[in-house]
Amino acid sequence: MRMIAVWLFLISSLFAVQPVWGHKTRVFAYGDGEYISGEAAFSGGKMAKDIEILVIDSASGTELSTGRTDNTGQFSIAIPEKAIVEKLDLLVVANGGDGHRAEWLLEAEAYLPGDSASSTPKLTEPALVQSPAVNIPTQKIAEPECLTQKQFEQQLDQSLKQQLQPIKHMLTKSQEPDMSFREVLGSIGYLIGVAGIIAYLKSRKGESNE
Amino acid sequence: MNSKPKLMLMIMSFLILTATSAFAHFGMVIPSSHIVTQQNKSIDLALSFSHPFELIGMNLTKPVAFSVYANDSKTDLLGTLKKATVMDHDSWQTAYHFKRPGVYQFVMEPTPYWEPAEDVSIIHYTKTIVPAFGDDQGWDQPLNLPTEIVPLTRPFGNYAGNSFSGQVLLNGEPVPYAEVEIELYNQQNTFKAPSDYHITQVVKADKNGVFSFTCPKAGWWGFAALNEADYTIKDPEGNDKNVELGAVLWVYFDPYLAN
Repeated sequence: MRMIAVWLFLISSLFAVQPVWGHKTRVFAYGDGEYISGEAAFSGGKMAKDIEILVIDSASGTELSTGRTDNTGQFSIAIPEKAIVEKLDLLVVANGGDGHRAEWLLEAEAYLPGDSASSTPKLTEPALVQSPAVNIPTQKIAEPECLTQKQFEQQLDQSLKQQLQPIKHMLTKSQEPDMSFREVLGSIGYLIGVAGIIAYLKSRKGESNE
Repeated sequence: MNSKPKLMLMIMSFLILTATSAFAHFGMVIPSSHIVTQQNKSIDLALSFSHPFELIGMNLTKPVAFSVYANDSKTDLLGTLKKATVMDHDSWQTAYHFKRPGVYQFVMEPTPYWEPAEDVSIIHYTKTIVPAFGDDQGWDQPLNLPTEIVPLTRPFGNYAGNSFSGQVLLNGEPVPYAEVEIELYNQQNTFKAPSDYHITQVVKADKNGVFSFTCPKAGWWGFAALNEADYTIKDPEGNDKNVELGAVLWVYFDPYLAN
């Protein structure tokens, strides 16, 4: 009997912790050099940890590669060579089970290095623009030595980006005008306002007396 | 004809005219789409200064700033603005391409607008919040603007008939009993006001600067919390004049769709 109670408690606590109902899954993917990077999350802001990510040829439905999200819901999967060669539009699917399935269509032009540079409009956040070092020609991808170096550069890029985030935030904040020195003038403004109201009321009174 | 009634008529018509224009200025930042999806990654944004219900435009000179805040960073978009026309008056427009999920807060700081009828300069800090690719976080974050409305209702994915709540901040502090003016952007000229009072709806915030209003029709609704600035700006003649600071927020309400 006690065993059953413990078991029920454990089961119910599982349901309480997992965002099972009412939370839609979303997935986002982008071409990140030789990788398809992205994130999976639930509505409400929780990241989807350790769930399966499938890379599928959107035309044939063939599975080309798989990966998993990390503890922060991020993933990075090498672009399948078949996709590069055949310039396939890819379906990136986040498969969280329990009907938690979301997909993102990653068109060939969005991850093929040469094309993405030319098709990207100018209106992009500087922090998110791919660094030129990552944009290497397709042919070089096969060379393993080159790959590890690029990988290292990317990781360096990534960690720099993350560590600079708070500083960037502070800079953004410090750009806002500090208006406290103007507060001295405030009372004068209010006085003029009050005087205006009095003048208005007086003129109204004058009219109704006519 | 006696000259006195004539004079009275003039004064009264002047009062009426100033009264109607006094209660309807809105800075406007209206995107071509209120939700960004995978199928539609780019939007156009129209920046104007108008009377949104009556569809009367005013000229908007090039704003002082136009930026987008998303994913903990701020991006300057001022250089992307191009001249355009809204309600037959000068306005500005730009296109924005979304690259990753986020809740994007677009903010326009206009050049002070000298309004002789009210004897003030008007600055409406105008904010419109556009979610992209399913992200729904960060809409409740203040942007540390001189004045702003911080949503307490998620400012997207709402139905006509929902109530909208927000908090009015001035220099980062709540404004007790702030007055908030509300207008529907009568884009297709669908509606007409039964009286001048109806053009602009007015609610007051509580002592914490929190207000609530129910938006009964689908479309863009503009919320403008008006406060007097604690500084002055010179009028065209060089006299120091008061400044009306507006915290404007635009929120879209969708109709219920039939199955």
